[in-house]
Amino acid sequence: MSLDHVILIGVLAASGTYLVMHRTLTRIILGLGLLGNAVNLLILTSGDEPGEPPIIGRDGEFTDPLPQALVLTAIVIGFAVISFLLAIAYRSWTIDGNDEVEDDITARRLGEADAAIEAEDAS
Amino acid sequence: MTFGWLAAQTSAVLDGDDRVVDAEWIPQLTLSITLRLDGFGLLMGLIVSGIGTLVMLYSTQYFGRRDDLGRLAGLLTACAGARLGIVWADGLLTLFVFWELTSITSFLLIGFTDKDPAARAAATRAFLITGAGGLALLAGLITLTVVGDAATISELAANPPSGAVTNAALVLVLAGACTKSAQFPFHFWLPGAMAAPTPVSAYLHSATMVKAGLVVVARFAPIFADQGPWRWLVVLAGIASLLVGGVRAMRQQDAKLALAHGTVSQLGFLMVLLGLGTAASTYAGVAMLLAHALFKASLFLCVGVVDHEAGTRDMRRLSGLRRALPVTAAAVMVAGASMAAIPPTFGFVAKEKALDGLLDDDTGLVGTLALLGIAIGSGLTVAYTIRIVVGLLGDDAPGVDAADDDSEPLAPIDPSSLHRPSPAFVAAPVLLAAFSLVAGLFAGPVGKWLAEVTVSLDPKTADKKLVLWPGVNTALILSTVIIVVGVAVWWFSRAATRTVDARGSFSTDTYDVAYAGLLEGARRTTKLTQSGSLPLYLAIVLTTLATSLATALLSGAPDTIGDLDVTESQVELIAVLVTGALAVTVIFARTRFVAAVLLGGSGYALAIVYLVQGAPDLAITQFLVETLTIVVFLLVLSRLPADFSPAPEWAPRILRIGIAVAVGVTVSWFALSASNARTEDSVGFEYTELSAPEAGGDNVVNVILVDFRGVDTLGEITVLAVAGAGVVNLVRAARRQQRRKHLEDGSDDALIDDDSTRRIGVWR
Amino acid sequence: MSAPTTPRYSVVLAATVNGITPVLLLFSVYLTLRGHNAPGGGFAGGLVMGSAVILRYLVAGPDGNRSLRFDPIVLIGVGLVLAVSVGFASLIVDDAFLESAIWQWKAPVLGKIKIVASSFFDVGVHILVVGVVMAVAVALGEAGDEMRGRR
Repeated sequence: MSLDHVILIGVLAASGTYLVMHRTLTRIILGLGLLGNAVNLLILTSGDEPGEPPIIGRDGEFTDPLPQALVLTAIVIGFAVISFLLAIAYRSWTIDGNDEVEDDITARRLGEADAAIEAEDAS
Repeated sequence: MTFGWLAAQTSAVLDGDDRVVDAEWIPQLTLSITLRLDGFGLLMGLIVSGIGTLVMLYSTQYFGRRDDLGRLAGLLTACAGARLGIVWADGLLTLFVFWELTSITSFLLIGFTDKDPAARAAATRAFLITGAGGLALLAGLITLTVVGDAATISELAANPPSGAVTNAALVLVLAGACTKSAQFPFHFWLPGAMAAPTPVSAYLHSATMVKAGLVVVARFAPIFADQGPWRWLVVLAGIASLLVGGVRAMRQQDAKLALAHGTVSQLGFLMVLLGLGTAASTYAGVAMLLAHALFKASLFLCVGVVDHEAGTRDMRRLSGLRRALPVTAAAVMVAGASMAAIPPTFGFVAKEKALDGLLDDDTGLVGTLALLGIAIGSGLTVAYTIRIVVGLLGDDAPGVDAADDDSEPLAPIDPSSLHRPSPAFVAAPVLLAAFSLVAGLFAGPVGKWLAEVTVSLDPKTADKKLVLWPGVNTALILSTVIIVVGVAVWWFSRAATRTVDARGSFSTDTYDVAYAGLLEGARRTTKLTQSGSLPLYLAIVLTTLATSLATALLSGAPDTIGDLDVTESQVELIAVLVTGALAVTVIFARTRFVAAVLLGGSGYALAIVYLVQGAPDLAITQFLVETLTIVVFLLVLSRLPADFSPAPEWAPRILRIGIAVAVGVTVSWFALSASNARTEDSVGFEYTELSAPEAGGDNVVNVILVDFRGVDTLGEITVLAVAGAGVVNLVRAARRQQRRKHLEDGSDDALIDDDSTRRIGVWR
Repeated sequence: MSAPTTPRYSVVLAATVNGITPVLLLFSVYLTLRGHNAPGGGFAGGLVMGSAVILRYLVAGPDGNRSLRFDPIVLIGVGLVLAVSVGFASLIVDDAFLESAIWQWKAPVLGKIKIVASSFFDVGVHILVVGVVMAVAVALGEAGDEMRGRR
């Protein structure tokens, strides 16, 4: 791992985090994509030295094949997740015409409901 | 049954042949259930099972026919069992387990009449306090285990640790014991627990639950008494309880409550005795323990009889009971005499021994303080004993005036209207009271037997004995003085007994405030964090991630920023820069289209990085996936409003940027440490070795995926399958709904429903 | 109302795609089969074939009922079954689940041929990935159409 990797991982993670904290589902999906990239790079480069691809028959120092396998899995699954989220965005659109993530009304009522119950108890 | 078995064990145990049970539980943590039946355990076992049997007998008469008698019996047995576990526990953690079991069973017992909110509140209060004490106890026990390198009490006894840490542990253990035995300042749950039915109270407060703390103190004191603050703490807590309990007992009108406060007081007394740790005090303490169990249980049960027959326990309304219920009255008087330590009861014998021991002892100021406290407390004991006895049996029954408190005026009960209780009913209390008397009369043999018991606690008690008549010595004079003072106190306090002590104690109020505050705090926190807003949740999660990562990294080794190159190749540097730049611009993209394309570009540059890192498979997959991602994105999103709407956000932008930067920095730092954190060689290279011979492949990565880690890949494709199916079904469901909407609106032509056909078409 | 976006049908694109598709299909198979010994593999191959499918989908004419030959869900199923059965097959032969076997023999003209059991697993993966890509693309494409006002 070299310094440019480290900084890149941080940049990707920061951008991804920022995007994820939005209300628009599209932005969230973009953020997730970036976060995924960040983590994949992290896993890959935290292996040993880079070198030749680990294909038997080539010369030179091989890189560690294990993180590569892991990251490959991760990339493909990331794609699956993104498509799923896009389907959700579509569903959201059919419901109210945009892809904003609404607040959960029930959860918010929880805080108020408790107050009502306690007022009742105290009296 | 238990009683019989225990009796049979007596001779064997007393000869020094302890029965030990050692069951392995979690060997790796050296947790095992270790029980030891030694002399003390035998005594306590006899008390618990003996009194328990009597209480059960009594309950059948007290409750008459009730549906939940079965439940009661079960709970009582469970409580007894848990209690026995405490007494017999040798392993420190075994002790804790049974301790908590006692808490639970007591909770269920105190709240037995579960329709009554007062009972529930009392049970909860008791449970919370003893539970908190249990936690303290656990902490103390674990510390002792570590410091003393011992897993059982016997090991601790053989080799007691010392030092500041041990002292801290001992304080914790004491705190736990004090909560369970209702010592000041944790005493306020005990009177509240009177909400339980009388037989239950009798059992819990005389024989089982509250004695648990005392048992722990008794076991630990001989080992640790000399250390640190033990003696002082024990004596101070004990005396405080002794006095507070006594004073409050003087003000109660309800006989049961008076007994409850009296119990607090008596427990304080016992705490002092058992906690002092000298041979004399331990011996006296055990004797007193036995005496207390006998007379307190008897008194409680008698009060229950009175309550059952007269319908009330209010001493202002009861009179002339010594004629109406003569047998019960006799029991009350004997048991009361034992409580007040009047000869020739066993209570007197035990207290004599206690005073004798204290007068002789050499623990310094602590001992003197103990003596003083006990003297005064005993005076109070005499006073409230007389009060209870007279109140129950005497002729003075002024009734309750409206002027005294808020309730309606109640007339005194006419004693002649009471009918005699059945013999079976009074059998239990009478038996117990009789024991108090008999044990006192046969003090010598009893004393010898007790000495054999207490040897298991402290070997130095081997030569102690009890005598009925010790001759006129200092202790006797002191006792006489105490009795006289007590009578005087009672006499002068008669005037003050009109008022009902309805004030809550300071401790109870503190508890209530704390409890309410806790609930309110929880509600507020929930309201704050569970606002229903997804971005908020995400922000909280990510902030926690960043903070915990940062803490971990800070506390770890900071020597990871060793030898890092800036970059490994020119090409890579460019690729990295492009990736980063494009990623950042995604944030600023105004339209979804542009954002998606920029993300894709970032992904492509990343693929080049992968390539340079020597991961061609990865690079290929990344290219392809990124392409498909953009395509899929655009398929869906190009119709959503092109611009991102500036919707009101949940927090100012600065905060969000701050969180994002924090996460980025922490992850970077993590990456830094991760690269240098390797302690073992990678497994991957082993895979490389095995790749050709075992799997017949040269592409190690692929071989790992489909062969060595084939099951992982199987899981992965399952996930893919599920995601794919999910997407299809989501879209289908949504489209179906859209159609329904359109049909209702009537805004479109007739549509064909395509759900029935298996083939997905482009257009329908 | 119809949306003023780019028309679905583009002649240039259609012609290109028609030419490229066979190449892509072949390449994807090649990629998968060589994966065991050189960069490539089931995922890569499956994704390439998936891209080919998407391309054809994208250039489908504006009027045609151009349906795809297979229900993608079926494809997914086939791929999954294949992969799992490879695993179980090895169980039958008394080995651990998914332990691979190497078969080698000499063919008269082609020389030494080596086939590894786990290649079939890779093929299963390939098929499944194609199915997933198809399913996702078509479903979301329809969703997009819906949103654009076309059906």
